[in-house]
Amino acid sequence: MKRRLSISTISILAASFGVSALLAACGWMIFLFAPREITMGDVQRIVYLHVAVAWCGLAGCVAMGLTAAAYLARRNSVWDHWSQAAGELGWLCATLTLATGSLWAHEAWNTWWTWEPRLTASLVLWTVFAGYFLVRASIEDAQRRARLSAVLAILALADVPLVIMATRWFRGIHPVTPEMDPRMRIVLLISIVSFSALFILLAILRKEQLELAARVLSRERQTGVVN
Amino acid sequence: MVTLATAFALAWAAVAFYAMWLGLQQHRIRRRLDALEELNGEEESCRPRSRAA
Amino acid sequence: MALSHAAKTWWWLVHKDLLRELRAPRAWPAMLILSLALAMVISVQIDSPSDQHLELAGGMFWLAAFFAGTVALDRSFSGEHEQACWQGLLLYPVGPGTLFLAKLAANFLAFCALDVVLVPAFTLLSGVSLFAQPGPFLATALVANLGFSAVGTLVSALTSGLSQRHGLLVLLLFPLVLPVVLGAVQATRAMLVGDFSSWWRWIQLLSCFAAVFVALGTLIFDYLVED
Repeated sequence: MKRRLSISTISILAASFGVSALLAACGWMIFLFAPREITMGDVQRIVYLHVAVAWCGLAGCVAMGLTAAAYLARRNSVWDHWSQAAGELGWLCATLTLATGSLWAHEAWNTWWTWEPRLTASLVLWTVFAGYFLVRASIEDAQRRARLSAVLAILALADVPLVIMATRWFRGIHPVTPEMDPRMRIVLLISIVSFSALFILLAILRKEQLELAARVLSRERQTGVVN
Repeated sequence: MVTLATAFALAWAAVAFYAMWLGLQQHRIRRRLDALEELNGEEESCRPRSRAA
Repeated sequence: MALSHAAKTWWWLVHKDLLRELRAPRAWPAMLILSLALAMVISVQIDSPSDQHLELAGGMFWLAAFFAGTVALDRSFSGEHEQACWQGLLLYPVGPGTLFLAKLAANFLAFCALDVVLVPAFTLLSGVSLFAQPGPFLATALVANLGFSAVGTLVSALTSGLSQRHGLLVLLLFPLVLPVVLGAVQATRAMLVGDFSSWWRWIQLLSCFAAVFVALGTLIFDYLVED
């Protein structure tokens, strides 16, 4: 069996280098370029990380749902691998969103947790991702696992806008973009782009790995190594 | 300052942990591939000569 | 012609489930008793100054109702699985959408029956009359139950074939139905304090949720029950 990668090693190395450079630049901008915030001081810089991973978590959920729908339509296992990869990275981002949000809340409001709309929605998202993986873990047959987890991913995707609406109305908060120094806006944007690039790269690598694992498994079944 | 450092350290640790976990999975797949190729090699040598042509 | 056939089949399926429940009660007694037990336990805890009763009563009621309702959801598909009737059900000449709507109706009726028992019990125990405004409360209960049953039926179908279905059902369900729980609680609270503009907003959210998931369920149920 040929150990070929469908994406060449060189392009992966190039992409990794590019993402690392982007993250380094982002780090420099976060700590040295972005101005110090008046009220909260340096701690406010957590926002650049928090918003970026929150955005990636949400994007991961959307990607997981869309690729799941593609799987149900096409029944090609590649879509299921994309779905799983997106789910894993999404869950990672949701965990980071909760952790960084909690740290920020402690500094800003002197409490580790508050039922603030975004934190609530993040918690729901985190639990949904966890449920997705629990379902995947409890099914042996690959096709059944792909099918059932795809349905769950689509339910989650339909649910996310409603959760966001409900939690915003709950607190009576009308989403208003806070007044931000233009330099802060630039750093925020770059942060979102950098972290998105990082997680997209990781998702691609994970999806390739899942493909390889599936091919190895089918070869093992043919050879009679596994049932 | 501690809070800020904690947040970034957590993020870095999470991504590093995931990358290491990916590396571990890759290593396991490699071992299974090696086992398969070894098995193929044995099958080749066990094949009867009359069928070799 | 096709529609009347579907409607007849739908009614026949609902009737079958209700009749089975009446002849050999599995879910309803447990559900009703659990709801009363929850109402008791919760009412003891909120034995606080009466000005807070109105704020808390809605939340407590819906908490008891939804948790008890998961018993009905859990048993929704387990009957067929346990008695090996699952293949028989799938062989009926009925579309999966109709099957979903029938199961949805059966669960919806279970929730309504639960509310009928729980409202007087809760009124007695907590001293707050939820039925003081029957119209708004009925509207709230109907849309909340519909949304909850829609998602509940889908998640129950998803987990029914899995090994750890009991734990997974609740774990998957509650994050997804957060908008319903929030909506029902806030609508009831608004109704009790007389804030009808707020009540109407929450009813709109609940209706939207119910509409989305009934429609999505009808489309997606096929993927859940195929072999």
